Amino acid sequence: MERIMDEKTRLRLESMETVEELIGWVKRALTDRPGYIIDEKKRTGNKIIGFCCIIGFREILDAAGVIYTPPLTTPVEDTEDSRINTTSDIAAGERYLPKTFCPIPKSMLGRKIKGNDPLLESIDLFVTPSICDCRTKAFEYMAQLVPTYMFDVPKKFDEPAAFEYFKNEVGNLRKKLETFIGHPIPDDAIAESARIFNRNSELQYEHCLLRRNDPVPITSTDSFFAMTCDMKLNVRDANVFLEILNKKMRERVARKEGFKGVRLILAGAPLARSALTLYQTLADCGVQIVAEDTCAQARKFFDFTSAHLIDLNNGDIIHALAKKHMRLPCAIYTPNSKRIELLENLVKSFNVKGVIYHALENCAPFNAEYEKIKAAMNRAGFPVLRIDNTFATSDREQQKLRVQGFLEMVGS
Amino acid sequence: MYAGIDVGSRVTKAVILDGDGIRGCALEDNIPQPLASAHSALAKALAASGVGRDALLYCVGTGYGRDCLDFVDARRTELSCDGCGINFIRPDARTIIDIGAQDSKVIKIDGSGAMLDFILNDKCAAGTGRFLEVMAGAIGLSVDMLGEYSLRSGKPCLVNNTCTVFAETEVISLLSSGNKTEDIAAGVHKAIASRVGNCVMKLGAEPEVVFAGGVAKNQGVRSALEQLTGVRFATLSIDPQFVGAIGAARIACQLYKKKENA
Repeated sequence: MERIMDEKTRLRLESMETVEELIGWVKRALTDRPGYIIDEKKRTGNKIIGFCCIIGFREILDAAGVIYTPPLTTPVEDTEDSRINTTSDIAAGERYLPKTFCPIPKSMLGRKIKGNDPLLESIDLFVTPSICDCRTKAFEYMAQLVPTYMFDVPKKFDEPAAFEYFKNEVGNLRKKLETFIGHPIPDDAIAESARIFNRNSELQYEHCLLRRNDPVPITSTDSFFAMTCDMKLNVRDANVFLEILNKKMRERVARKEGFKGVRLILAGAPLARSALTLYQTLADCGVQIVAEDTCAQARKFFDFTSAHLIDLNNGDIIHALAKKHMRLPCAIYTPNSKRIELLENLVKSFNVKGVIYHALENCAPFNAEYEKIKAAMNRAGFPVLRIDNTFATSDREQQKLRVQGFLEMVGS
Repeated sequence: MYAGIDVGSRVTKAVILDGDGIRGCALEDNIPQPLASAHSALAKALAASGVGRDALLYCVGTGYGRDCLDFVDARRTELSCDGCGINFIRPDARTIIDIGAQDSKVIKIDGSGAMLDFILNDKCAAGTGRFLEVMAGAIGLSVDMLGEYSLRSGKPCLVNNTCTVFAETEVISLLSSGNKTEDIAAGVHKAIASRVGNCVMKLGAEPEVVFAGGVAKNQGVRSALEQLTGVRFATLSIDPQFVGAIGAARIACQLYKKKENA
């Protein structure tokens, strides 16, 4: 996939003085990315594959030599432009899907139905895991509009037979991609991609650990861009970026500079587009989110003892990939006690006053785990505030009252 | 003297407090706009206390409109103020159910009035005073009469819809099917009690439980909630609508003393 990080850009980034300047660069790069990808397809004739979850097996997509991207041109705020208006996307999605479905797949399907997002329209194949029921059913409709391959994710995390089944599904995904591109994807190519993704994990893990410092060297919004840039940029570019960013963060920590505020953990449903609104509301109230139990962020490093790399010494690369991806404590798994372990580790090691639980409207698995998480956190002595969030920006005032009340409660 | 001003979505309440207790209070409808109502409510409360504005040492604003109060020394959420206000009136209270015009909340507090946990209603009118207003309008009663009427009911109607608009339609159809006004009123109260009762059950009701906010004056809602939760609410010696403003005034006193000692 096309790279934007040439030597000149790298030197320019290295010469930047602040974390914020670097984030400014990555935001622009992310904004420009859909255009780049579409141009690259036009120029090279290469196929674009849309992946829809952190369990997207990007290592195989990368080794296949295709262009791969999350499907949506994500706007920062709802705009007048109906092309990128989430509310109208959801309304379009409800032509097929129930009102009580999660807004994430609903908005994705809705935008495809509207047919006016250039990036979404240029996707040749969707690859998606059967994560939750909402996503699974949404992609059954999506398959009527664009070729879609769904691989199955068994729900019993620790069952050996479930793992064997999952590994088989990953093998089938590889075969499907080989048929799609018309040539084999060799093991060593996958292993080479896995090595690059391992480097990404190490850098992200370091990034997470740097946020344990007080003052915290990066705001939660900026960290969100840093921790998710590997999804949209070429992962090699993301690695160069993160190396430079982490260095700047380390320097800031050494100078004891950064951001003060009421330190909290954010847990809960996928943040996606609504993240920025929520982060802004929290920041307006004086909160510094220092770690997130979300799939793009700290959840990946669930026991917080290592970056959890793909085992490249395992002779069977598909086995190694399956092993890595089936260990992420997503709420679709049962039982999901590893997620509680993660949160217990986070609250204890990040010097926080409590937890904000992000409940996304109609995200059944994560909303259902709220009571369990709350009980575990309360046992550990940490209060939890549940914030109910729709996918829109309209509920900021309601959220603010809850957050301010919570801060008064934790004595800040 | 310390002042607490609670700018609710419908009514603004002001309370003047001194070391010994409440010196005066007043309320004002939020028409035409909250800031003007706050000034007016404060002036009335000061007049009732027999002191002038210059006697005020510290002033705290609360309620959904607290941000518009440009003259206060500090602002606190109605959640903290409710806890502090109730603790002033009933130090033995540990659970507060507060139903206002725009939202409802359940708050757990400790022996000092500090919040331990809280829960607010979903983002809609069900389970709020606004729900009662709309239903009273549909029945053709003033909202103040709804409680009294409902107590005469022998057979409350079932109002199933939690959406205010659909519930209004339901009430209209109950009326046209010939149901008695008092039975419909009692049904409306049961509906609101079930919404708020869910929040109480989620958080758990530790005694003493008190009922505050404007809707607490409605005997019908009170008795429906008591029935549903199986808890008898402790009595309050003051108008439950003033709890938030009392808490704000008390916080004003605490903040002033903290400032003086600093």
